[in-house]
Amino acid sequence: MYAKDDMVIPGQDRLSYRIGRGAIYAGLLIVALVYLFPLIVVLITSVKTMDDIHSGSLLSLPTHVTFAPWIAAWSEACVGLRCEGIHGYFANTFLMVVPSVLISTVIGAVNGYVLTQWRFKGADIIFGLILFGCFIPYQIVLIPMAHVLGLMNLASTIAGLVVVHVCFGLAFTTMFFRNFLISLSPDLVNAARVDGARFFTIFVRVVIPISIPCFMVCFIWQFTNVWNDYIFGATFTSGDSSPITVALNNIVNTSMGDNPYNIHMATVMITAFPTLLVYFFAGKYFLRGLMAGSVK
Amino acid sequence: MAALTLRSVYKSYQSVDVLKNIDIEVKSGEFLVLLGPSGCGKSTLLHSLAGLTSITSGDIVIDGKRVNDVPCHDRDIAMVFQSYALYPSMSVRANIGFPLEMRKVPAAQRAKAVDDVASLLKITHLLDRKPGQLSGGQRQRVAIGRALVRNPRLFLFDEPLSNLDALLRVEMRTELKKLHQRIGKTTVYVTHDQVEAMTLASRIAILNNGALQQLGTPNEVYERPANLFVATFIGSPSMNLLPVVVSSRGGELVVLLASKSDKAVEIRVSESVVAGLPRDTELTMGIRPEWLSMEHTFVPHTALLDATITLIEPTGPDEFAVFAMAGHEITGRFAVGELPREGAVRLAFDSRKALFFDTRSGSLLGRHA
Repeated sequence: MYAKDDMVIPGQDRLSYRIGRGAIYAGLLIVALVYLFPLIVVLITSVKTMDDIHSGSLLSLPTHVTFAPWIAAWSEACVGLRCEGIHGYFANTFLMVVPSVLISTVIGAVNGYVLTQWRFKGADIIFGLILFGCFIPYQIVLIPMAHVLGLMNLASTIAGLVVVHVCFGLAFTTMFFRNFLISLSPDLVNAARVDGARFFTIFVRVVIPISIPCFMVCFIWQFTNVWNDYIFGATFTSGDSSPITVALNNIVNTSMGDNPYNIHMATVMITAFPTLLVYFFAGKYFLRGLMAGSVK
Repeated sequence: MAALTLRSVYKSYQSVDVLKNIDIEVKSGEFLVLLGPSGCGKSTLLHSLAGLTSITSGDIVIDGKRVNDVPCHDRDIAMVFQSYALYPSMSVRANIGFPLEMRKVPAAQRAKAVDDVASLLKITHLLDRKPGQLSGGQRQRVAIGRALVRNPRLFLFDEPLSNLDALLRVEMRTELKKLHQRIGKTTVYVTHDQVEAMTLASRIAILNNGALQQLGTPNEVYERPANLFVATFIGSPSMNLLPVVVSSRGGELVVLLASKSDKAVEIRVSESVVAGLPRDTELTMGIRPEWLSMEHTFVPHTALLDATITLIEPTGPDEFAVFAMAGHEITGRFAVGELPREGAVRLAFDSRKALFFDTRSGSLLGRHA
């Protein structure tokens, strides 16, 4: 009872307070609906039959729920001239995302560690230059990057995309780790040095365990960015080596008479699903990690 | 044998000298306290000993071996940090065992060493906890345990007690002293707290602006401070400093106190006290607050001062009183009930104890120097 009393704010039972609260919740509800509207349309359409789509409106519920479009999207839909579904491209993206995320995060962590705990002359300038990488628009580097990938014999390969994404992600992961570790007391690293640990031992035993929130931020950030990337995928790969975002576009653009909207929508859901999942399960760590650097 | 020798150590950042010509020799088993106000270079000096920063010139010799170029992890020293610097992801056991692990001590031997240290510091019941679950005092013990566990050549403490609350600080101070008496390891301890320095040290090195002011036993620095800085830095309330001139009057040497309002006040002291002092130059006379007492029956060498009580601060066992005297303010330390509550009083002090400093250079003059 005491605890309950504690939760009560003085004046909470007044009419004006209740009206104010009601207005806030109504506003939030409306905004949420506006945001969710496209998702609702996509979800509903993806389980409709084509007949339902033709007869009903955008928002009408399906008369008959079917998962056939999902199956078709996965294994039958036509991307260009091949009609094997998108599972191969899904795998491509997966093979691209995992190394890109891991490599850029690990290098970013080492960078942040060096930039904050083993400060050297010009560390701030180097950090500034790395930071500059955050602001480079993708379009600028497309042609030089294509040239470089060609020289590296990585043109039109998943490995080539990994290189591109690691390079671009580094600026962000370095920034995240540098800003996270700058608040770390130098005493901790000094204590480890006195205790006899060296550069990488300190990194692995002391710095990494306390950087878990920052790792989560980098994983999520990099995962969504790399997974959702379209421009690099479209530019540097072709055909079978394309990531799923490119395949999605190709499916939608492969027009054969009647547009199978339900299959398109199912493909959209499959494409977006991993990032949604990541945010759903790791969103709180993302927030926590971002806060860890700023607050305190 | 000297466990640690510092020979004309300099440290500069760009053009700023943070350590200037530091010469200190620490005997084996000694407890040396580096004392000074913040920014005096004491922590920099400690970090240089640890090998966390390099020095610009000079020598650091540990156990007869010059270690200037020996990296931190090979110096075989242990350090306790102000922030404790416990590894947050490791249990207390892993924290204490970490230095041994880094030196590739076998697991069984390591476990025994950790247990021994834990029981010495009475933290056995905490071994499986994480640092985040410990109180300040417990963390402090763990940090000390981590330093003790591997029997280093040198212990370094960087203001280890300043993050503790007042009561716990006194308790830990006593324990540190007991611990040092028991294991007798050479220790260098940095603090800005003069009470800590006085109670713990076998010798104190007082630093100011990167220069060594005095190196001596707690008694020496208290009774015979080498200069005005040391005189005022050590002791609370601070030493009374009065501008005086030693002059000859009618064949007798007297101390004249410069007065802000009137003509100089004459303080009668024994001839022997002022015999060696320069005449007719500006000197500063230092009197510790506890040397003052109410006028009492004549004792040889007693000097008298006429003053008016401005303020009395009771502290419990003592009273600190502030007096006005010829435009100067002086502080005295008295037993409770010794002083009247207000009005004019005549104060006495043993003139043989009085300290005289050269006002310009600040250094101690006369018989105590």
